[in-house]
Amino acid sequence: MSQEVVYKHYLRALSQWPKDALRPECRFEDVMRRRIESKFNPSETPSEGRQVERVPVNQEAELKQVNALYSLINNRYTTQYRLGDLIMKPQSNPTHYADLVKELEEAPNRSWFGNMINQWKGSLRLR
Amino acid sequence: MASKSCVNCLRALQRQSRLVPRQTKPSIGRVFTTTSARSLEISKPQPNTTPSTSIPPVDPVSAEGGHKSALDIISKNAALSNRKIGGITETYTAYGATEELYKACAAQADYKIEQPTDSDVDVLKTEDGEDLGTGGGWWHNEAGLNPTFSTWSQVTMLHIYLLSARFRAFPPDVSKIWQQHLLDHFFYDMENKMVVNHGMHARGTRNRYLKDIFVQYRGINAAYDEGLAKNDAVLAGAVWRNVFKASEEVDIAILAQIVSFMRRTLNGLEKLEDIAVMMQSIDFGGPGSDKVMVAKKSKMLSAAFEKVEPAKATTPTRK
Repeated sequence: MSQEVVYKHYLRALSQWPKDALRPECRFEDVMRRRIESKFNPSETPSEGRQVERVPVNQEAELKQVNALYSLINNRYTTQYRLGDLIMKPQSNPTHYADLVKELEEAPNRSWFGNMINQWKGSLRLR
Repeated sequence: MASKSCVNCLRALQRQSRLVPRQTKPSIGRVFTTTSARSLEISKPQPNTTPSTSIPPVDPVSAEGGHKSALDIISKNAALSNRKIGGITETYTAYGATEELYKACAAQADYKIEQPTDSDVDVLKTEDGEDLGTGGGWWHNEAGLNPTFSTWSQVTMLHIYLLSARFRAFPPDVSKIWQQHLLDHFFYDMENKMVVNHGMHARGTRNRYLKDIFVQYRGINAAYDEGLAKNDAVLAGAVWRNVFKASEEVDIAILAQIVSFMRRTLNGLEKLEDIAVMMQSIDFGGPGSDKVMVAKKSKMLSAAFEKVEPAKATTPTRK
């Protein structure tokens, strides 16, 4: 498999990586894209005037990485090791995960005022 | 002294101590691990752990003069089956049991620091200025993480997280107790390591780091929970940010192995009864046994490329 193809695999896999609204400054797909750009297209990355030697890419190693990427975006491990209601709807708080996901979706879009109201609501939790 | 107390008093003591059994053969706990070797010897004393409880368990064989009576076996089974979960004494049982479980978590990425004999020489440091030690195990050797305090705390927190997620499935008041004790053991041990390994004798410095790590722990809990609730990629991202510190040089296959290990472990923990989780010592195995699963060739490697539009999240084509 040529270098071109491995590069294309990388781009395809990273394009399907889920977007994280909560941590925009620390995105996996962005950092990985930077890495493959410097590996596969070293002449295009800005350097301090040095002549960058084009290091031959280790095809096998890169294919292993791409394979792992694909396995993650295709949820191989979730489907292989399914978790039932005992873990996902735990007895001590059945809506724990649903609440968390909802909270994480809402948090980036709250205004400063919305945050304050939320804090007060949280401190007045009634049984 | 065994020879002077009456046999009935001894039996009463044995029954009490059996409520927190220390079983070194994790027969039920190993149901879900695929490694055949590597049993964790929890009975071996480890240099940096907190002192164990002062009441030693009475060995029934030596106390009774060398033979197990029928009463012993019956009372042992009775203790197991009559073990009432919850109530006033739950916290005491939980304290001892979580200590064993915690030790299993802490042993995964344990490390030793060479204290220099010459006081002028500084301890070996990493590029970021952390104290660098020596350690073995999968996390240092295969995953390539440095044997430092931060690696150890991150790996331990990952394992504590797995147990916490299982503890959540206990009844509400019981779950809180077990999670709290597990966390307490971790924080005590962390402070211990700070003093012993890193010479932080100032309480203020230690408290500052402990507060930071507590905030980290809350973040890790939320991040891994999000990964668990959503999908593998999100979980991998969480592990990448926390354990690998968002490094550009991360080995993605190792990342996938860890994700697989986490899900496999939770899957196995789910299959155990509450009582088994509470009373057995645990053998995590490790992400090493997930290498085969990760290496399996994905169908998408042979799928043809369509016109790539990075903005759209299209479903992958399959042959």
